[in-house]
Amino acid sequence: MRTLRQQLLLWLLGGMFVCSMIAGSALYLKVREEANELFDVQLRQATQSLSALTGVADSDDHEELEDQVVVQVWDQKGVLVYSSSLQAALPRYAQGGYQTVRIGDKHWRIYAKNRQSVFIQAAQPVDVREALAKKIAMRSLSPFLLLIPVLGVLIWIVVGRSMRPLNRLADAVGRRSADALQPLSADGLPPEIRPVVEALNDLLEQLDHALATQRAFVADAAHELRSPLTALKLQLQLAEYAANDEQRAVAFHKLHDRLDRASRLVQQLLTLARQEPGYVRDHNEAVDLQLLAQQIVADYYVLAERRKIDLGVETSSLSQIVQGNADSLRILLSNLVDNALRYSANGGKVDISTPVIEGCPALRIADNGPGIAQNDQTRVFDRFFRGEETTAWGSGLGLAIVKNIADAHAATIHLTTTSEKHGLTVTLVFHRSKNQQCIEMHSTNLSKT
Amino acid sequence: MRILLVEDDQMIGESVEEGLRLQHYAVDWVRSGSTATVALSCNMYDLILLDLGLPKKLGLDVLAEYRKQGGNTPVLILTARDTPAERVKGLDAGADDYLVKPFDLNELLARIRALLRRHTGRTQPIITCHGLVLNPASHAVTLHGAVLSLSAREFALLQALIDPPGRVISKTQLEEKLYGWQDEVESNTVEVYIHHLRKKLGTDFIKNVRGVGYMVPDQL
Repeated sequence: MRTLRQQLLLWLLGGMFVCSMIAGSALYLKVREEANELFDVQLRQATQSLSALTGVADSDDHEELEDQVVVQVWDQKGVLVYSSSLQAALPRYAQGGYQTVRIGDKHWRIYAKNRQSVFIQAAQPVDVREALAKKIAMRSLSPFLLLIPVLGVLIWIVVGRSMRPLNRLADAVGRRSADALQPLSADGLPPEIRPVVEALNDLLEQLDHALATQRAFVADAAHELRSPLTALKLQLQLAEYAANDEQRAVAFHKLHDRLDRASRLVQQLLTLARQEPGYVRDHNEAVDLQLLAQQIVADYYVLAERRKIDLGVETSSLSQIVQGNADSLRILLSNLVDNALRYSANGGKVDISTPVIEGCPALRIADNGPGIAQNDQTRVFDRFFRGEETTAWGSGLGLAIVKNIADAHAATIHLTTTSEKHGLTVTLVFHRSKNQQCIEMHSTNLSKT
Repeated sequence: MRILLVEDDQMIGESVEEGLRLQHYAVDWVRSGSTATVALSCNMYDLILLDLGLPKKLGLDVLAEYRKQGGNTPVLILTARDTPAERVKGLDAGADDYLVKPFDLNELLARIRALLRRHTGRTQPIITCHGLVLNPASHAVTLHGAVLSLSAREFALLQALIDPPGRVISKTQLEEKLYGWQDEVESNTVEVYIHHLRKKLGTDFIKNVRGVGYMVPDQL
């Protein structure tokens, strides 16, 4: 396929050439015709000028007197011996040669010459000459005037033809919808448009992927909502069957639990949606991890106390500042602490600390719950993933939310469950942005710190 | 009637178990596919309620494996997956019925009754035998038109013996039908219930097959 530039150049140049040839030929014929006509007029004027010599003034010619060349002849003594026109008697302009003079309100072009014994002067009104010249010029121009609309049509067709791939592309893009995001074909497209198609295809692919993810999420969410709803419905029916007040009280208590669970799932779904990549824009707040940890511990203290779980922060003299979104980081830490409390047995221990790992600020949450099996460790970040035989109820979204927020903050998550010592340790390392590398401190190994 | 409930969701499992117990079914509740397989290999169940969305070992795998090993207990699938394709897959894997979450407890119980009835080859919802009429839905029992008052265990035992009649059932089998894992079984309870039933139905209604078990004959 030729480039658009080549196509336009080829067709327009070709078209112009053909048109110019036609117009040139027409001009050639026209000018020849005009020249012949002019010569004819000269012939006629010559005869008219000389008709006075014969003394026979043709009365028919009087009408054309205006056009006429006035020829006058003077003898040596300066006596006018001949004049082609009786009406227009012009004075003698002795200096000779070409000149333009004004007589009355009329301009005349005069040529005069002294010929041995006589002085001959020929004069012609300037307006007649002008009119004749204009007429000839205008007639010669006409092929070019005709050429303009022809060229217009030619340009219209050529540009239209060259733009046809663009129109096809526009049609193809127009036919795409949220349901049909198949890539566009680059076949038969000029090289200038190919990059556009490639960029569009990339975009379509990304969109398709994003839509598929979103659809899967909605389907998963609807599916996941069914479980708490089933539990609610069943419990409601059991409450209806309750034979006495005591049974009814138990049934209602359970009903509340199930409602809380459904609400929490909805809440977590909303949080996840709000922490999807690209949703949170402001990541430029300075967040003190130590301070954040203290706030979260304060939030969860009552819950932990009720279950006799020892929840605390390892205080550090260093303030660990990370750049990020304070709300998102709060949600992240809340989810991790919530998980730790959920999976810890009554009387357990949950520690939050803010170590420095390889020069980067970090957050660490350690519990002494059951931990996460090695082969589940990559899957726990999937939405709605739940391990086998887990007794604690969770939405299955907590760690997915944590992952989203961590990704947005360029933080890496490490899970460690050691077999000899039960419990899960979650470590988040906040790698500084690309231009601000963490200080390399290889002596502090991740597993040792 | 003993039912195996395979459900990983704590709250749903709890409610279904309670609902089934209220209807005097003996229930064993397992929370994973692997324990379900173990339970199926060790016990005789009258019905299996199977959740498909189990972690790790999927419900369909449990079902396929069970059917391959010759298990013929009716299976009712409980699942949140409701597309026709999923239903077809479930039924083709050997399930007898399919119930989509969230379901109604009454519907679940009705389907369980229907499956149990079909499994014994009975088409009538009411069980009749020698003037005895048992309604599994309402648990009402009449003998020659007179209403009998039976306890839940007595009802379960009687249903096991007459649905259908003419089979010898061992004491162990009867115990299995009456008790789930969690229930305490005293050594002579079956005898005690048989004794109660004989008092209400007449001594000849349930025959003793010495050294084997009990039987209600087809014809008196």
